[in-house]
Amino acid sequence: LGQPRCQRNLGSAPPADHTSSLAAVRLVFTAYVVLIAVGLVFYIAIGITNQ
Amino acid sequence: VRFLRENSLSLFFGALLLASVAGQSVAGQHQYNADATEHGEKAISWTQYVVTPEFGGDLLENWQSEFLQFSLYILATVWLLQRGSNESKELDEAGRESDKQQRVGQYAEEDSPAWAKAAGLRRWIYSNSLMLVMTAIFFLSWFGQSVNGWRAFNNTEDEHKSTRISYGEYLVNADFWDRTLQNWQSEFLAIGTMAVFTIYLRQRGSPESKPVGAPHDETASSG
Repeated sequence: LGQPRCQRNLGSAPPADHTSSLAAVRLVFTAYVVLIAVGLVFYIAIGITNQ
Repeated sequence: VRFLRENSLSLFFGALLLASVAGQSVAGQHQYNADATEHGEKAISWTQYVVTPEFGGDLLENWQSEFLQFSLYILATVWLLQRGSNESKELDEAGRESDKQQRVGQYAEEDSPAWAKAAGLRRWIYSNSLMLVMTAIFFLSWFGQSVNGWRAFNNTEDEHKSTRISYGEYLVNADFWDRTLQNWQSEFLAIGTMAVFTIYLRQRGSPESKPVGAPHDETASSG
């Protein structure tokens, strides 16, 4: 009990590496957002328009 | 290599998702064509099947339940506790916590997100952004399930020379609620089980588990 709440980060890499690491993380995040958005929009459109 | 290592969790599940959807679409097409043949109709290709409301409905009914599960879990764990569980907060931390604990406003740090430093609406939105986005995806998926399910239901009605129903009628139809609730029940079972099983069971090395040697009544040891 009483342990500090976890505070994770991306490690202690040098600034340039750290920036490219963050860009990669942003890329993965964006890929998930795009995948979900495309799936939702595409299949909602099919449901609405399909006769 | 570094990219793969630092993002392996998301990439692993992303790959599993794509493989599962591919498998679902192939199996679904076979099932669809078996049905069509039985009813004396023409079989369709894979590219035709993946744009049917039958496939769209099957896909989104599972999406909605997963996003409902996480939305509820995110929200419920703000206030609700389970003594001894790794999924619960510590027993004296129920609630939204102080600005200091949450590192917002005057307690924000130099590298805190800009909207955590902001005041008013922007901070409120950012403070709830995970729940808001997950809940929005839940409602959109559920809506998608309902319109696709309605089209697919009416396709079956046509096959059986029965009367088509309106969208409003489908929303109170047993088919819609059967599909919805069969997915919800499994999600609720899974999250309830995680809350309870992490009291007594362990997985060495997993942040989803307490450390192996943690006592059973220790709550929230891997935060």
